[in-house]
Amino acid sequence: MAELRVRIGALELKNPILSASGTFGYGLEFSGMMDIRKIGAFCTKGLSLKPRAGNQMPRICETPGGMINSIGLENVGIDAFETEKMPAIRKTGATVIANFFGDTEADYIEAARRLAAMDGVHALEMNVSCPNVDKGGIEFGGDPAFLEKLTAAVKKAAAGKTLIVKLSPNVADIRPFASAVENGGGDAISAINTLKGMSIDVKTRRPKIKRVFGGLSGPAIKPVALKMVYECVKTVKIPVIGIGGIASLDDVLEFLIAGASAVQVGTMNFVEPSICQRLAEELNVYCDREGIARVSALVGTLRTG
Amino acid sequence: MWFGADKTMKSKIVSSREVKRGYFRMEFEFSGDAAPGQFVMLKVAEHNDPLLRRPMSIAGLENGVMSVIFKVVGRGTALLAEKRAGDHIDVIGPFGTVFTPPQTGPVLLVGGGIGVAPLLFWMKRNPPRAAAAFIGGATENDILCADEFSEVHIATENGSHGRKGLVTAPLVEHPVYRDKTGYLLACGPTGMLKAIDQLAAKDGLRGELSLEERMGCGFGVCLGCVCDTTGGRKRMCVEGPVFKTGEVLWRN
Ligand SMILES: Cc1cc2nc3c(=O)[nH]c(=O)nc-3n(C[C@H](O)[C@H](O)[C@H](O)COP(=O)(O)OP(=O)(O)OC[C@H]3O[C@@H](n4cnc5c(N)ncnc54)[C@H](O)[C@@H]3O)c2cc1C
Ligand SMILES: Cc1cc2nc3c(=O)[nH]c(=O)nc-3n(C[C@H](O)[C@H](O)[C@H](O)COP(=O)(O)O)c2cc1C
Ligand code: FES
Repeated sequence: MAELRVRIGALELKNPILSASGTFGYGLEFSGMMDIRKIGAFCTKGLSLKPRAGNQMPRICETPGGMINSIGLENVGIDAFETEKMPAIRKTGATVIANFFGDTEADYIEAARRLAAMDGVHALEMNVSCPNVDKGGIEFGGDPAFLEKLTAAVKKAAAGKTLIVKLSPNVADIRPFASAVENGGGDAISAINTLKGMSIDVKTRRPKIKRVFGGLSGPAIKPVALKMVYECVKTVKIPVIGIGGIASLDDVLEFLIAGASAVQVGTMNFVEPSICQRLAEELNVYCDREGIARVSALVGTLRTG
Repeated sequence: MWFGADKTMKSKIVSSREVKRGYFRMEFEFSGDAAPGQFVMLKVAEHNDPLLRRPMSIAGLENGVMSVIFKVVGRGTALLAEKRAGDHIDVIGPFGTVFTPPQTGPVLLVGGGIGVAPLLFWMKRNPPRAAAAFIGGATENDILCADEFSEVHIATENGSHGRKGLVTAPLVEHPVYRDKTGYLLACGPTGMLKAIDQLAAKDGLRGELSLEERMGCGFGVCLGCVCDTTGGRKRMCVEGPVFKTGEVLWRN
């Protein structure tokens, strides 16, 4: 049995396979379909101080090897999460990473403070791919200087809990954003969130998504995600969690070799609800077969030149 | 919830045949139980394109064999139609809410096109309860499984089978509808369901409607399938697909 444990900030994970926010509900929906204790952690649906109804329908469509979504961050809100979801989540024995966002800097800080204090939340993941209402709707994750400031303020509010900052790929160069997280005191980076995309129904000439644009995810985005994760790894010393299109053990290995300390699986949870558990098992078998004593020995072993 | 012991969730296909031009009925092994109104999510390709599973209503489940009836409308259903007896199909489910008519009293089944599938399953599990079935479609080719119901009224838009016009016409004339004792179970295109919902409200009947929406997951996590109801925003795959009449706030 290989050593699969990895450390992200103060958080120790039993293995590096996590499920991504927005693709794993509140962790309860998968009961009976997989054993949540067998995966490193799960990231909750993005939480906000107030509940959100999300965007109008239709808000998903399929694309070659992927899908576009514009759910609009629908969630039950932090109060209902604490009273209605958390008691049941605690019973599952899952490692919980609370993903959160806000409309203003003050919202982010308050959300982080609430979640960090919540019994059963092991770490925080801050989603910065949301419009800042105080700044005319530009994304929080769209300006490195602001991202650094936000990270520092949220880290303080997180009172010692591990803070992962999840980067948006919808920027010309991701490296300054990775540095901003590190300089702001973030414990880790997760990347990538969905890529902006669009799809048209040629019969009706209407966009397949009501809001016209949405976020592309799934196997189709993996090469782009891998490149961005590699760039982050080359830029910062804090751990990077790789996300984007992971569907197989080889995909996991690619991200680890590129330098990711752990990975998150998103869209593929819809297709194969037990995929995270399967990948954790396959990673273990792979390490044993290849004589790799600890999975961390694989991380960043890309051979170049 | 059922999963194959090896977690690959593969079921052996027992039979597959084209019942009408472009409509297929497929039967596969299924070792769990399910109730009428529920659906399964089928993987149509071995690899990841098309990526997402396709939702299909359960049209029957007997002696460990489940049946679905589907119409070829795109790539996914075209791939399903290519599968043959002896092939395997990756199935997860059952998911969703079930039809729950009152314990006693006559039930009127209303199906549009492929919408007969879950009604057929309900009828097979509750044979004496179905007072009559009303089946509608665009043409004769779109009328499915009519001979499996004992009392059946048919309507086609072009008049090629049964009455010309919409299925609601024979429905509202039926004595069990007119005396308001009938409980409605309906499945079909959104326009038909909306019309039935409005008729039921006007005429003072109650019933249940099985809705359709594009689904990313089928078990409540992608939030791609929501609809607004009198009880707030609901996921069609978990709090639906079966809703009570008067519950759905129709979008348009
Ligand atoms: C709960 C539920 C039960 C269903 N039961 C059945 C059934 O018993 N038999 C059956 O034939 N079909 C059923 N459907 C619809 C079926 O899932 C779709 O027809 C199928 O997914 C289309 O896949 P495709 O790849 O062939 O088409 P695509 O290429 O994905 O789409 C072709 C066309 O169909 C439309 N479409 C795709 N999915 C849906 C959908 N879910 N609802 C409405 N329009 C859609 C698309 O917008 C497009 O115009 C059900 C859907 C739901 C949600
Ligand atoms: C339907 C859907 C909803 C999502 N919701 C969130 C969210 O609430 N917060 C977040 O940080 N990321 C969200 N994501 C992004 C995923 O967590 C992940 O970053 C992205 O999908 C790329 O990974 P994948 O290709 O494995 O899906 C969502 C993705 C999908 C498909
Ligand atoms: S289909 Fe994913 S939530 Fe309903």
